Amino acid sequence: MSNRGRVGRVSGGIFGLLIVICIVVAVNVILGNLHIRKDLTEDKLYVLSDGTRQILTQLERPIELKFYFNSSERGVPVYFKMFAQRVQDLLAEYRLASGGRIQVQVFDPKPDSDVEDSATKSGISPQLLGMDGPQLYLGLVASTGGGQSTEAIPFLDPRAEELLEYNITRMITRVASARKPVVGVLSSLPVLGERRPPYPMPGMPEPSPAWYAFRELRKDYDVREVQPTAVRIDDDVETLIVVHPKDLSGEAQYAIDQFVLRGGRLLAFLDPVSVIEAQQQQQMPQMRFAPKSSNLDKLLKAWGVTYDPAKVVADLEAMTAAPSPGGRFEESPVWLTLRKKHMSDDVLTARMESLRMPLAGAFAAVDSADVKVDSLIRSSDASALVDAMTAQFGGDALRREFKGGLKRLDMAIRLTGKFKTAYPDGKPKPEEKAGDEPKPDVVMDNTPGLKESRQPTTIILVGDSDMLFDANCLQQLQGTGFAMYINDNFALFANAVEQLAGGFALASIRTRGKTGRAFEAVRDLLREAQERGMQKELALQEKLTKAQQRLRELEMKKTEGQKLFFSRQQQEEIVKLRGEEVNYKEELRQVRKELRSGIERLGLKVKLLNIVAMPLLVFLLGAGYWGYRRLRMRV
Amino acid sequence: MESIRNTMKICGREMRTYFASPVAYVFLVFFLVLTGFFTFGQYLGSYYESGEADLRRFFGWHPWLYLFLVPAASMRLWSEERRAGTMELLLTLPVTLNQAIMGKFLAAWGFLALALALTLPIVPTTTIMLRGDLDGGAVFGGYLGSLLLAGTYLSVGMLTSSMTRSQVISFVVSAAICLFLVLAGFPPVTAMLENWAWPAVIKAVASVSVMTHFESIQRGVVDLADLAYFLGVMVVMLVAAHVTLSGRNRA
Repeated sequence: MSNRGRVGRVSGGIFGLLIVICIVVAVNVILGNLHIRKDLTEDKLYVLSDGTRQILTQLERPIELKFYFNSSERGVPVYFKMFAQRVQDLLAEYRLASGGRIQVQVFDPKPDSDVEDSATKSGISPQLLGMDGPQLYLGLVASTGGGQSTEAIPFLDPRAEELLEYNITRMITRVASARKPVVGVLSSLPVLGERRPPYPMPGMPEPSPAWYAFRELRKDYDVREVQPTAVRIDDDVETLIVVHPKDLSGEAQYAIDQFVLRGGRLLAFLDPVSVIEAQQQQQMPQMRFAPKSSNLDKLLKAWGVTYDPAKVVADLEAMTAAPSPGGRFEESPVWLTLRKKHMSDDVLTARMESLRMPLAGAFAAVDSADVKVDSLIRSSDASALVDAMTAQFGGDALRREFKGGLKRLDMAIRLTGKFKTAYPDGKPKPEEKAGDEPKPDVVMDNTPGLKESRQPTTIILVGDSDMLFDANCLQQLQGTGFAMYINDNFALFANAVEQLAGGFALASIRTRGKTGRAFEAVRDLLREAQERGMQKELALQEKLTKAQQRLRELEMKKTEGQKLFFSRQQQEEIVKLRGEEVNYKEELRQVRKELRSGIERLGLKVKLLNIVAMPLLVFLLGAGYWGYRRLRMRV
Repeated sequence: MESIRNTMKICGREMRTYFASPVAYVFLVFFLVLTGFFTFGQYLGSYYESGEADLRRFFGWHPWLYLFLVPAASMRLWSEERRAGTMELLLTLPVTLNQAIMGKFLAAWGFLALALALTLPIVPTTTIMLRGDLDGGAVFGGYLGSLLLAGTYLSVGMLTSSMTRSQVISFVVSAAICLFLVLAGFPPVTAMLENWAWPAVIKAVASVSVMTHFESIQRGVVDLADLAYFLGVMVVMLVAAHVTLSGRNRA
């Protein structure tokens, strides 16, 4: 074959190759912009959640989203560029799902440009990356009605990517609502501040101011006080916060019941022991043993939630130094300092690092056909429910309460769905107190109540009310009006209110991209081991204490009898007891070592199976097949 | 159809040669030990210690492990024929070059698919022994992504082995190209480009990277754009191999 022919064929081939490359690149570019994708994950982690879709379809006015990212700036790391790309992909989905009601614009704020000015005016502040690093603009602004209402996320933190959808939807909700949401507050504690008495007398204490958390609440919401004696929650209250409801009348509980059934969102802080009340009662000895717990018993029962107001959560992995009755400070497992591991992956708690809950109760609820239960804050595996009274006395009595075994407890849960009424027979009759005059001019409201939820709603239950009190959330800096948050208590409150006030749809948005699927077998082993260890430790501790007590008794006898030496018998006993003491200490050490060995054994089995077993199988098969072939060749 | 039957015939012929030699078994053993070791190893994947039923610690290593496992599998595809002189024999059979290429490719890809399938025990280990709730969609996405990744590296190997008689050169060059595909999106590479290329070019280079597309699929989201990327690279490489082989064999 001639050379020319060959060259012709090759160059024809290369030309064909170039065409193929062009086609492939074109297809890739087109598909890259179309985002035709299917999310196969079980939790649908990577597409817009139903909650967002619902909010977008209910938008009344068009909303403009402006995304500011200075991609052209030198030295912006690829990490941010890729994140910005994902943000833009997400915004594109918002646009698609909103049916045109959301417009997205992308801006690159170059230095000293008009774009940069408008970014700063809208509240987007640049972040400096490192000492000499470039300034990074990565913010989002939502506005509506020609700029009438604007909200901004000044900086989208890539580290909080799992909250991206929630934050964007939250911002859209805020900008879309024309007025401040109405939030009702019902409490037996003076959270909204005590009223000034009409005739203040000298020597009377000043009325206490509203709690900080509630003062802040007034900034973003239209806060209405709801009396604990209320028989009805006003129709324009869509979100209700209940704090430490003590001895609510049947009518008040009915009011809350109907509120929930008509679609109102509820945030309730119940408490087996209100430390604030306990402290107040210290001042008045006759009130020492008055109850300090709150409950919504009828309602909780109807919602399928178990809660014991006489028990508090004791968590060995959340201990805090607290004053004990003896006046000293000791590590108490009922004064809970909760850390990241106690928080669930929910949007509300995902970024939280620490919470303080003094003497909190626990809720137990399971998913049902109509109601889904999410755990928001849970104890570690080394916890138990202990008697509230005993808990307040601390010390050894508390340790004994652990005999019942260890488990995980939920201190805050969220219920989503449709509920049934707690009052199937209708509104309860008003309780008549002895000596009351009958009130003839009260109009009885006889409208039949709702028997079940008109529409799905959300209820968040938290097992402690003290966590909202100023001293437990923040620290006032001396002399200034500034306060510093000492934990995430306030953040939890603010986020919970916002999520509920934003409506049912907002509350249903989940964190994106989080898994959190644990090896249950390992968890069970760990819990089992800890329980066994705990039981053994308690038993050994008791024996040790007894032995030490006996030794002391002997010492005392010696002093009484004025003898200088022990009798032989006593000496023998002392030696024996000392020996036992050493043994018990050694046994305790062994128990702790055993804790891990069961788990390590499982790990070894798993690793052997996966690293050695399969290759071995292949090797044997191969050797077998090869041997078989060689045998056949011989024949 | 005639052409499909021919392709499958070539495919079958190749597969049988694989399993006739101990090399295939050695390769499989190596593959399984390495993936297992990297997944469970103490300073590597520590899958068991992580306590989480997330196979990211298993799939995450594949782009790196395949860098030398797949070129090793592909290096003999054409080089062997050229060296042993069986190339002419192959092409006198009543099959077209296309069918031969596809047949060999599918055989090698099938072999890698088998190796991948042999890693499946990790799924029942997690769900039954450890009682971890694996996300089925993510697992499917992981295996799909890994399969496509292996196919992509393989197609690169097809090209390099068609260009040279030496298996070693084929191995080294295909590993180098695959390494480039992996690193294209990485900071050191883009930083180097940033100083003298337009942002559009940098973005284009980054999108050539295997990593973004692989990571996207293996988390459980199947985007046509990612599928188009993998298939696109494979098509380009196989066409290039065709050009190389058709140019050479007429000599």
